Amino acid sequence: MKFSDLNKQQKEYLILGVMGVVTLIAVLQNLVIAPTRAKAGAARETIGKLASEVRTGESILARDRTTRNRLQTVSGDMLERMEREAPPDFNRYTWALSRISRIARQHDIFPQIREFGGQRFVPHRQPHSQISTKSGMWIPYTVEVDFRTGYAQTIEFLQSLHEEEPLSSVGQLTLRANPDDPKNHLVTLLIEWPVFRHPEDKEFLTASKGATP
Amino acid sequence: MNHYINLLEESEKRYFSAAENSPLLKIGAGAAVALALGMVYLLISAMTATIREADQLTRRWADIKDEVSAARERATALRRIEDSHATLQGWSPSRHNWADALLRIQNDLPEPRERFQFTRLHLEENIVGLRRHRPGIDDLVHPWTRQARGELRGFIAGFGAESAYAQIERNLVLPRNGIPSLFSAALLENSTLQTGTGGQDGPLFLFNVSMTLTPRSILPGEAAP
Repeated sequence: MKFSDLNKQQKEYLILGVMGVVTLIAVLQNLVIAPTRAKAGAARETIGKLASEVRTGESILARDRTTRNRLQTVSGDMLERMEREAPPDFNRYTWALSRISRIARQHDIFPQIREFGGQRFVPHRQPHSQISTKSGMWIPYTVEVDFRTGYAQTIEFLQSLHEEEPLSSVGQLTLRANPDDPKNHLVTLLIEWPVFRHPEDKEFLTASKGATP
Repeated sequence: MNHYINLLEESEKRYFSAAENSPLLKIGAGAAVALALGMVYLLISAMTATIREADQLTRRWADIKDEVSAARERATALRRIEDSHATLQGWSPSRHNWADALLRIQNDLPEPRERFQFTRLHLEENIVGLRRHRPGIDDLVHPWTRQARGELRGFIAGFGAESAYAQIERNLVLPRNGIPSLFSAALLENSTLQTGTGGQDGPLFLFNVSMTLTPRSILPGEAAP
């Protein structure tokens, strides 16, 4: 059938029909499809960006309870150990004095004990928040101990210190001959314990210990 | 040939004849339009589903974002705290036993021991990761290592000092009763004959031996040998 075979009314219907379809397509394209496609494009971008983040986030949240429990346990353990075996935040010198003097008395040693004046670590100048992931929690608290005694007593003193002060370390040990008294050497020790580098770390541990998992 | 009288006008005749001749054309046109509309519907449905999914993800992320951030910080903090906890747990068992070191030095002197007179014994420990830690340069949170070295200075009297030095070097590093020595190396650094000596009692040498102790990692399971 050719277009020319159609009568006038049929031609009008056909043209109107085609125009209607074209109009419908144009309306659909401009008012529905194009905006929806633009939104869908943006949505796909959002999905690409957020899907993995949400998935990772949900897995982090799923593990968070375990993290909290572990944080509480470890914090409690560390604080308890530090309280029992390391110098306190205040009066560290008095604490060290009493601990070392007690051991020295057991071996008839009369030491001179003073806080070490030098640097046994590099202090950090940056704020805690900037370096917390880049540094360990500990710095040494150091005291210098001098006494005069024999070689055997020095060994006994060191053994007692090793056994009775589990967190103590001897950073330096020097025995020098004493020309005036050959039986008693001049002994100098640097004894140190780990303490918190940043007070913020201790505060965080205290908060974590008391937190409800 | 038509044998009846056609009462239809020409235009009506053509219209009906077109409809009667190809009804599939109208059905086909209708089906094409329906198909096109169906495809559009499907396309829009798919896009709407994508938009809905993105909305849900956005809402979910907004809901959990802060919690995730806090949880992530906690997880990071826990890693550092566990490292520091491991350091603390390893602190005691990783210590060098200086009493054993002194005893070992005393016991490993070759006989007769009266020939020896020490003037200075110095031992020092460096904890790698603790002492010279600079953030951003040598970021070592765990595990730290205890490195220790020492120096023994003194006099040895009599002949055969060379063999005595060799014995000191060997004795200090050899295992005793199957237990490895604290010392990984001992080396004579210097031996100087003292002027004005060398009479009946033999020569007098001032010697200097350097010692290195076996490094020990500060780890919970690290026990002293």
